[in-house]
Amino acid sequence: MDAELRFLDILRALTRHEVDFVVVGGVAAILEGAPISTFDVDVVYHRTDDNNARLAAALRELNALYKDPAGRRIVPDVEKLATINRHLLLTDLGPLDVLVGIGRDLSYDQLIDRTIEYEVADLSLKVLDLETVIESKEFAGRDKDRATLPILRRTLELKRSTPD
Amino acid sequence: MKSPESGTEIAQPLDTSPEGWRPETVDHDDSLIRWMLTLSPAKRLEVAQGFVDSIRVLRSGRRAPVSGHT
Repeated sequence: MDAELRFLDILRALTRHEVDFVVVGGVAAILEGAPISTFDVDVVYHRTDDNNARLAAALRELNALYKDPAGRRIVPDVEKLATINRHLLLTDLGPLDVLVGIGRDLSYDQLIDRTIEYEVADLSLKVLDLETVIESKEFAGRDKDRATLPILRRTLELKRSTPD
Repeated sequence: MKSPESGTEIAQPLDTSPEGWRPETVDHDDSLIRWMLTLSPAKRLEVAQGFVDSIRVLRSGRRAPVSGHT
């Protein structure tokens, strides 16, 4: 699958199904003002029975499948959402990583106080603040994360030095 | 929850010279960051979407539409 990536439409599908989630990763950094590029959407979801059901419905609508090197068609469902912590998915609207936590096992409950609510088009999104995005990328330590850290840190410096 | 920044509809074309932004008056290395910070969150996402779309056009071997070019 090489779906056309549509950031806003993925987030709109999750919102339409009333999924409780926090936007994290590259999209969060972009919404916070960092001029970086990203090629997927990362979200942390609230793992409760009701929310798992709403998320599963949204993922069905997006025709989500797990990224599987063997090419198998593995569909996310309520049971997997309740037991697996990282769901690296391909959808009709592009790659979507659905996570139970980031960084040092920071879950939805712990991240929610580190979010900013942004109105983006017709959506109201809970977006991880840039400081915590930086912490999560420092913790992950992957090459692609380290590559963006100087831009993220400088963006945070400039945000702090510029009054709203 | 922190105080929100306001977003706007993304249907409008990007303003590439927002009020208060002067490329010649800022440090070169910071100019892109400063420009992004002048945009609303919705516009920032639009910029990112535009980049993704451009890469997709390049990968598919199609020519990106150029304004005023026939």
